[in-house]
Amino acid sequence: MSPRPIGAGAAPGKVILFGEHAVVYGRPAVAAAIDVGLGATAEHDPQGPILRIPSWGRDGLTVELRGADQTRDAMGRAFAVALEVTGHPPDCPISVTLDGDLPLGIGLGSSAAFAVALIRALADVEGEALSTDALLAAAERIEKVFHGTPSGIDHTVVAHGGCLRFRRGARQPFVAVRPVRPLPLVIAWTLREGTTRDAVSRLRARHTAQFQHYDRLFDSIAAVAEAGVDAIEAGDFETLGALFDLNHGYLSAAGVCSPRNEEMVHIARTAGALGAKITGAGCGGAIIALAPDAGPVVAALEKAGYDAFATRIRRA
Amino acid sequence: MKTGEQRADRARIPGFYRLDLPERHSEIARRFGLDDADLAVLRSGASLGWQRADKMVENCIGVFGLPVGLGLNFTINGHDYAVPMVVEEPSVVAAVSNMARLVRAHGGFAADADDGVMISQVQVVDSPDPAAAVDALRRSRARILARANAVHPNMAARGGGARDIEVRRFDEPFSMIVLHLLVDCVDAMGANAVNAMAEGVAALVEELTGGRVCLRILSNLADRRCARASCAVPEEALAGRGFAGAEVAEGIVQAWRFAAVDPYRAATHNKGVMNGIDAVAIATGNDWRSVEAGAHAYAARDGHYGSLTRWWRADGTLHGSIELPMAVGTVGGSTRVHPTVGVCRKILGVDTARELAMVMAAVGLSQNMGALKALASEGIQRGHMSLHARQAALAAGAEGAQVELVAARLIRRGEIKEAAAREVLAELMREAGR
Repeated sequence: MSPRPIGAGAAPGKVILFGEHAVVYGRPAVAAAIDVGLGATAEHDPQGPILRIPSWGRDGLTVELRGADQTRDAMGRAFAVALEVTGHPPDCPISVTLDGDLPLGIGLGSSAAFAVALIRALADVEGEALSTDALLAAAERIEKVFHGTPSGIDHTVVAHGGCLRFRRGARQPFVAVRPVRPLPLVIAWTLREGTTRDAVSRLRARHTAQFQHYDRLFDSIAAVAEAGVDAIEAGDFETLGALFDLNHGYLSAAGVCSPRNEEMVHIARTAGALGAKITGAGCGGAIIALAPDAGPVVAALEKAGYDAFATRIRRA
Repeated sequence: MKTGEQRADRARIPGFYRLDLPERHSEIARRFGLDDADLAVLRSGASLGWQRADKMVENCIGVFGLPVGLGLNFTINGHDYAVPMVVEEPSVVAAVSNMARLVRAHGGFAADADDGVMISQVQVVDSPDPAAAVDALRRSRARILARANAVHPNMAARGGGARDIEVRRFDEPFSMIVLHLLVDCVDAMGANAVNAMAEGVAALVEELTGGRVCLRILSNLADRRCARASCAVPEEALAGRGFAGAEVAEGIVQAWRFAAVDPYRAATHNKGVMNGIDAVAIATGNDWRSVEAGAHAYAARDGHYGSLTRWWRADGTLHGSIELPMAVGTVGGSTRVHPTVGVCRKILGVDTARELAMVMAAVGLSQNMGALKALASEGIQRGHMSLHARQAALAAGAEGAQVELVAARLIRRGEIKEAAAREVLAELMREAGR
């Protein structure tokens, strides 16, 4: 048997429930942690520091920091930052293994979950639970390695868990949203067609050209997001489903939904979901459907060749 | 933080049994800060309500009520507890309260409990190379644990989560590999979480072993989550009703030895222990069947079904101890659904699942002490009675085989006096003369 584990951590993935894209223009967004995430196990390892992610890439991913040039790739830099913020020297005899079913690169917060799970496992080695503030600051540094200037939504939701309302520039950017009962979601996804950055910059160009129309669209999304918070806190699934559909329609109008996004949303609704929308940047990627009876929705999406799973949104 | 002062009058309520029901309610309202709504919940025989009940089971047709008794006098690790107990059997609440009072007068119970570690089992069959499969699982410990924790990220965030694995191999007649996930559920009983984790690692386990995963479910033999309690009472404190303390202590130890060697006695002995423990499990919204299953399996852990408790004498002191799995929680599951459970939790005032487990172990030990003391005293009383009856028979002039016959009839009459013995002897002579 390999040596006894000396630290463990985990972090959930996330979805945007309302307000993606509009959030860039100062409108509110609602985001929530999901049940699926990443776990991390730290072990004593004289060859360390080593980071292993056996499920990522075709043959798994291994990052060795000892004697290596850490600045070579983002993963190495991220690992080095995680060691630094948790007080481990750059030559510490520790290896960390990450694993989990959270899909990568489709807007479900995999890089934030990676950062938070890794930091938690390394902090656990010292037997210390980091304060939320320290965890957020550390996760933000790692997110910057991957994303330059992250909005902060991903790692904040992932570190807090539960459901949060966010508004950029507000005096208190994050406010907890408390589902009176867990929200039954189905998540389905397909490959992304382009990056988040591309999707955001294309929309930016259209907004610049036609800002009076797009601002009205974003105002409508903001109103739906605020109504969505009320529906979540009231446990009113019928209304919430209708608001998902509305938000999706506005995003279609904004031109960020691909034909495959439209197809997934359509399949989910036809199979009994109360409402469905893209989640995240769109242009492929993931959709969410509000589905108290998840089985038929997951089955219909899988039958059409999409990956899908059921999850729940709970209060933190 | 609880201090002895704040909790000083929580456990001891002299004369509680003599109060009528409204008086008991004003007493507990004052001591445990219960409001009118709490008391109404206790008065109602069906606080669960059938709307709520209908969401819990299939074909629901109603709600069943049971008495809630208050186990008193518990001092455990220096803290005082009044322990709500849901039980239909008479004498259980009285027995635990009486024994707790005796133990309290001599320092109270000492107790401890393990972390909330549950075992989740993953069964692997049809592995083409079992030895290699076992190796692969052991080498992939870190990855399996990471995958398990990814399924329940919140649990890891709260300081719990999958901590370790064990790999067990069974050969003839049924060959299989069983992977254990050891999961710290902290204050939850954890059944749903550990089942989800076992489910979450199934695909990885198949990949690593080349076998097929069948069952993935928690084990109720929660032997990494044991609770222990012990007590020590000077033998002279056991004296009473004409019995010497040493006599009672010896009777208790003999009764325990009976359970230790004989499964037929141990089953009854442990049933008594569970009279106390189940009553607290129900009152706190926990799954008493899982506690039962764990207890009895643990009692047979070395292949011989024996006693969950131990009693011995040393230096004029009677010592008792108990150890058993205690998979109980203070969050999640049904602990939040039932209104009466909420009120019971207010009265009990435990903060963590470990604290609850310690209280339950002490209640089990207390119940066992009460049962053994009663049985032993009865035995001693019988012994005393037959001794007295024989003396009375001899004094009345019985000889030889007559002595036992007269003594037996005296005991049956419940009147052990020389005058009665003379009557019985005369009766015997008449019968013999016919």
